[in-house]
Amino acid sequence: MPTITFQCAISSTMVSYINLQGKPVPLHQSGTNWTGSLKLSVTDTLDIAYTITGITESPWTLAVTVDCPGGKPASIFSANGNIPSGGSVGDTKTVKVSANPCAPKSEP
Amino acid sequence: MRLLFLIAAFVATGLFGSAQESLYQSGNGETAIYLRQSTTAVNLGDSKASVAYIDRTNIHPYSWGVEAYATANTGVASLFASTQPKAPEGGGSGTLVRHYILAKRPVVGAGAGPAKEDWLLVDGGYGRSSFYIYPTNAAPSTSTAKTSFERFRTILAYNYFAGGDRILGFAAGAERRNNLSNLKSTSQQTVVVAGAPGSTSSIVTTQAGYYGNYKVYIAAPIYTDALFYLPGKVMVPGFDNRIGVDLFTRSDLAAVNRGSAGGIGIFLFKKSDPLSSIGGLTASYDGTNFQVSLTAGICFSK
Repeated sequence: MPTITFQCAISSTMVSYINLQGKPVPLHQSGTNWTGSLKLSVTDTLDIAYTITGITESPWTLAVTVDCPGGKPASIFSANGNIPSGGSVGDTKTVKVSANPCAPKSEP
Repeated sequence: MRLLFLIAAFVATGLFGSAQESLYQSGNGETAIYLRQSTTAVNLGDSKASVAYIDRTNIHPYSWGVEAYATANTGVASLFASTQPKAPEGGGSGTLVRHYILAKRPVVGAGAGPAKEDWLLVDGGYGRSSFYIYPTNAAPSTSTAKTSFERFRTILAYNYFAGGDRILGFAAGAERRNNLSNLKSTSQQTVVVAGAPGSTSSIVTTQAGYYGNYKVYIAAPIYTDALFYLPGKVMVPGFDNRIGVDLFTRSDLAAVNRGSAGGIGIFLFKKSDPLSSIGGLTASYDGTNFQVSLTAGICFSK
């Protein structure tokens, strides 16, 4: 089982939360950006749960990535939208993760 | 005409905000809503510039912040205020915050429900200023010594964010203040070279100061704010900013200077970050004076 460090970045006006495989990711605030990382052993899927709060109608973004040495981070999951009425948005997703997310994808 | 000028001035504040800052303040810089962003801010109404840093990690119940500030002589943007002199002042403050007091931390994932968050904080501050005092019934003197004033403040504040469109704030505490704003801003002139006999000209030096009975006292401020965001489709023509309306009260329960003022503030916020105000207009009334002030924010942090 490979161990992968997942980088999480959420942009929203109020506090936001994300769990990977059920574990909360500590996110540090810098203005509207909340960033943090979590090292996990994963097989082939990653469970993502998030709740983002903010002022209604303001934009939010979420990105889960893996840092790749000497290259662009590999995207694992991303989502975005506007905060709905009520001030929060949340969802759970399961995404596939390869053993080496930084490996170049083979051409079809 | 006055209304047109007000609208023009309000809209013009948007031009000052090359970047944004979180501030929901009455014209004199007081607030009961403590937001949590690293900011550099300029409050034109209070002639106050400040730099703030707040450290928070989402899963920790506590966060902290520090701020350094400096104020200039007088507010530069009070439109219809009575003359309230202020001395230049520098200082700093620190806050310790506890999150989720009455509100519960949201469930993470689907079904989070409406947003609710509250925070309780202690705000301690220190400021120092120096100025010349010309006491009532004292003859002008060229050897008037500067008076220094040290301001101390401890405020306990509670803020509640709910439903995505409202933030309520209550703050109370104690602050060592002076009555400089009640004194008369004056200048003492000293003749350096007297004019020739019959001439009306002479060379003088002037020294700015404050005339009256100077007092230092302990105030017991109580501030309340209720900030409501209007729907995004409500906009100032020509701007796509969000609009927030802040209903506020500013009271002092201490017997020395007991009083209360209430007012309304209208703020323009960056559309992508509605906690960042790019400018605002506040109007307050304390039973005697009506004051309208502009507030503009500048921020290098997003």
